Amino acid sequence: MTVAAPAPASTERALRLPFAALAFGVLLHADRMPLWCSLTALAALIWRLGAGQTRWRLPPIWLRTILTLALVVLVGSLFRSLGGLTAGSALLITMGSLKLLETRTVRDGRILVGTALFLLVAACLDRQGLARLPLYAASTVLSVAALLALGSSAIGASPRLAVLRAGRDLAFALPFAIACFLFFPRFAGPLWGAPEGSRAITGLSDEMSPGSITELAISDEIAFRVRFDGRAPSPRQRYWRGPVLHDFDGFTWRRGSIPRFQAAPLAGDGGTLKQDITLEPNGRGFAFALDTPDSVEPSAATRILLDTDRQLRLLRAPSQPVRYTVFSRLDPQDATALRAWQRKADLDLPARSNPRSLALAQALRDSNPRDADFAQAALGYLRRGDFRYSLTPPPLQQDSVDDLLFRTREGFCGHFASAFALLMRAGGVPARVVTGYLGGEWNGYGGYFTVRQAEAHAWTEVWLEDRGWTRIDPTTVVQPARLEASLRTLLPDESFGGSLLQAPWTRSLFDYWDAGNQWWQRRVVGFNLQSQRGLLDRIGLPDADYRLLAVLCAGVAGLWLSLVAWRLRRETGLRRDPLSRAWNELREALARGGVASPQQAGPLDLARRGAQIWPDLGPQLESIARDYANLRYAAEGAADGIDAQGLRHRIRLLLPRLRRSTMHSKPADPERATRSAHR
Amino acid sequence: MAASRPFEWLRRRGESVAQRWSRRRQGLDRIPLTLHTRRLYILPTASGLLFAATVLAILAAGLNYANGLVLLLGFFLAGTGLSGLHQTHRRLLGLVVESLTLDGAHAGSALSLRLCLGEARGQAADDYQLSLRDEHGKLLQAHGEGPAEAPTFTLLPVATQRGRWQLPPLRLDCEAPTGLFRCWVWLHMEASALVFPRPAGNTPMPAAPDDEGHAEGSTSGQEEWFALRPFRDGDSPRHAAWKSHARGQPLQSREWRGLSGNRHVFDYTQLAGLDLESRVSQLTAWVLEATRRGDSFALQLPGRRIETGSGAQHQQDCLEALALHGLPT
Repeated sequence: MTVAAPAPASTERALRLPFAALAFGVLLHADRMPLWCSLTALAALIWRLGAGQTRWRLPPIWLRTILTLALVVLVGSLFRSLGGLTAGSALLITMGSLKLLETRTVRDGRILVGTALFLLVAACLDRQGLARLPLYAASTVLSVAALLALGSSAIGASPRLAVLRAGRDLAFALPFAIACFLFFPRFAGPLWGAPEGSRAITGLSDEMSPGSITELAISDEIAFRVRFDGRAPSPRQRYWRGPVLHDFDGFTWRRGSIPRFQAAPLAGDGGTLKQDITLEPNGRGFAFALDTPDSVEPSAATRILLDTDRQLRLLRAPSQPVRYTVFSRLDPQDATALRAWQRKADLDLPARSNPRSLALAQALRDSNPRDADFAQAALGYLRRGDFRYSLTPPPLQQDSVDDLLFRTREGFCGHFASAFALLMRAGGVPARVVTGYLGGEWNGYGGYFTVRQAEAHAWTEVWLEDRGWTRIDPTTVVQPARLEASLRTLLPDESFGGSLLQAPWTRSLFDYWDAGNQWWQRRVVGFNLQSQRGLLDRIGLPDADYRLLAVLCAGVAGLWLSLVAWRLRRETGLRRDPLSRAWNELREALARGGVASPQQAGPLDLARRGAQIWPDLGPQLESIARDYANLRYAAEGAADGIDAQGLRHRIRLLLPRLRRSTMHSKPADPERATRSAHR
Repeated sequence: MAASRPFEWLRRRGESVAQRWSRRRQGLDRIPLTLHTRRLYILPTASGLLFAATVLAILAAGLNYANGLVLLLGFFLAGTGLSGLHQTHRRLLGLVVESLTLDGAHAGSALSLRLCLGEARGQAADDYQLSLRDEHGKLLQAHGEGPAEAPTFTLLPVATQRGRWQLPPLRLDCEAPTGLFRCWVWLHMEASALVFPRPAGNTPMPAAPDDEGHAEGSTSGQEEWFALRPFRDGDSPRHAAWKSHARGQPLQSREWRGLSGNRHVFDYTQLAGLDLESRVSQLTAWVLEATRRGDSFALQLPGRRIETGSGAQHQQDCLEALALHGLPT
């Protein structure tokens, strides 16, 4: 049994808020969805509103069926799936729009609110930044307001009232939500797969050609943030290791297909640096850590691998920021010997390319029989060769290294790393290119380093028999300042198009905001099993299991519910008129004694009949009734001098006496009581 | 409410069991009646269950994807829903059933039931709904009207049988403000209304034995009216008190009695050849017609005689006697 449909006009009024909630839900996705998706929703909304206002006709069932099928097929073919976060949101938007076109009843309105809530959830799964929080809060308030508008006609008539009430109800729910959020038992790992994002993200890729890193250099996007547990590395040690590239075709470096295994911990004396990294999604599953990563702290939430290239990889490309903990060594000693096939892969050179460079390498090699000396000689060549470090070097021909070394003499980090690795290989020293980041800004508000795409960097590693893989960064030879300073200070402003982030005050503002956002991401969005354990430790419940947590949650919920009840009692109690309450109690006592009070009976009437049953109380009853009648019903002026509070008090005093005598004597005429409602 | 809905019979059965149980538990209710917690029942509505499922799905997604934002949203919604439980409950708690009036009618037409509440705390009168199941199991519902703190309800149940119509249990419910929960209370009040027989039959009215030739509404000098009553539709304009109306009073009808009007005797036994109900219906039709004309009449029923008289009270007495005639008391 549902509430009988209210008048269409009042339902139509109440439906405005569900419409608004759905529209807002669509808006949350508007920047990520194809335009037609939002336009479909907009068109449906206009159509529906038009039908409510100007009696446009809503589409008939056959048209809706066709539209439904068409939109499902459209979404399915455009996103190549109906699952996944983006496709799912698109489906929600289109189906919600169609539902809009057949919304007539309160029940339909509630389905719209449900759709709006699921759109909100999808948006929350997609992006959780602090900046989005006001949007999400607004969407929540609108959805709850829509629910209230559908539940009560008075609230439905006034959107403002609905929003106010929704805000109040959500404020009521705040303690409950926070307590449950903190103590609700968490899963160790996901029960089903994480939602997959599908957006183009800037970041390092698994290949590097001249110029590819240059594109990143103008991006202010954050790659990851690092919090050090204990000492932090000095600026010249802040190499963040990313994809390691082995294959070179004369122009482009690629990861290659050599087998990689899980890495064993490194040897070294310096001890390890523990770092807590929050990685922004980069769409490729690459993860970064301070060079050289030693081991990864196992975590159920984030599956991450450290392979024999000392490269970190996530098992699946995340669409959300992920957190992991890595231990790194600044002075690693790689104990594992280089196998023959590895040596072969890292000495491989493309046939018939870059002949002049090969000849140069040969010449340097001839005068330096030791590998380390040879490397130094090659660096010396770059240092003395009047090479220029530039964000906008001239484009290179197919034999890119020859072109760089002998013609343009101008390049970015990738150019020099590529050239140096080629020289090393040509001289018989195994070499590989490592891409990643160099630098990072200290955020003093949050206590972490921020590493941006603009700090993308490439360097080389050469295999030296006594030291293993050794980092050599040829860029620092060409431009030594790059080690200490960020790219921005090294290159002329026009390369960056005058970014706002350069002004010191905006910088500081940004740091502040970013620190807040990070706190939000770490403490609220990322509040997981570990965080919960930490909290329980701190409040003295170190071995709380899920049963205790459930009891805790239930206890908090119970306490909260009674608080809400108390709060509501206070709120509504104030509105009750104490005098009419007392009068009603008196009427009830009289009714129990046998004086029924049909509607027609006035106070005086009642008192007269009461006096017949309780002769001794008659005068009091009659005086009370007279005063009450005067207060309540008489014209203005007649009630002057009657004290409402005193009257209430008199009623209160009379009540026990009435009740006592009722208990002793049965009502004189039980029939009279039950005939109350006869005419 | 479609009776064809699945499980409708099951629902109805459960409802009647619960209703009888509440009757045993609460006893008979008297007016005025303050609604206390003991008699309030509350359960989620279909929308409430749907909402709960939505919230559970949101919480599951939040837990699975370890997304604090989604979890927080889920808990906020759960909290809001639960506080809605309290709010719905509070709208009935402390409410006072102030009065109930039940107006009789002729069989086949609608009785009028009016219930007034006091100290309501809803946002609007139509937050509340009163319903009853009539003798055929049909559900009658009415939303409250009037001021928010004192809603009144009007239900028009149709009685098919003459006699005493016993008020079935009433149900007062409220889903506001969220629509996720329905709080209700059963009111078992002993009240009844008289259902007068349906006026029917075409036997001509027996002529007055001594007033032959006295035309209806004649303006002979003998007429004497004895009382004024408010003019009703259907009254003869001849009987209207135009003079007093011209002096600015509301239009009234003169009621005729005694010597001047016709005198009839409506005798049950005269209507041979008809069954009991038809006779009662015929007598009812005569009583109404005679009163309308302002005639005097006596009613002779087996075992009961109502002496000659006229006017509204006389009609009422006659109709009551006819309503209950031949029925077990």
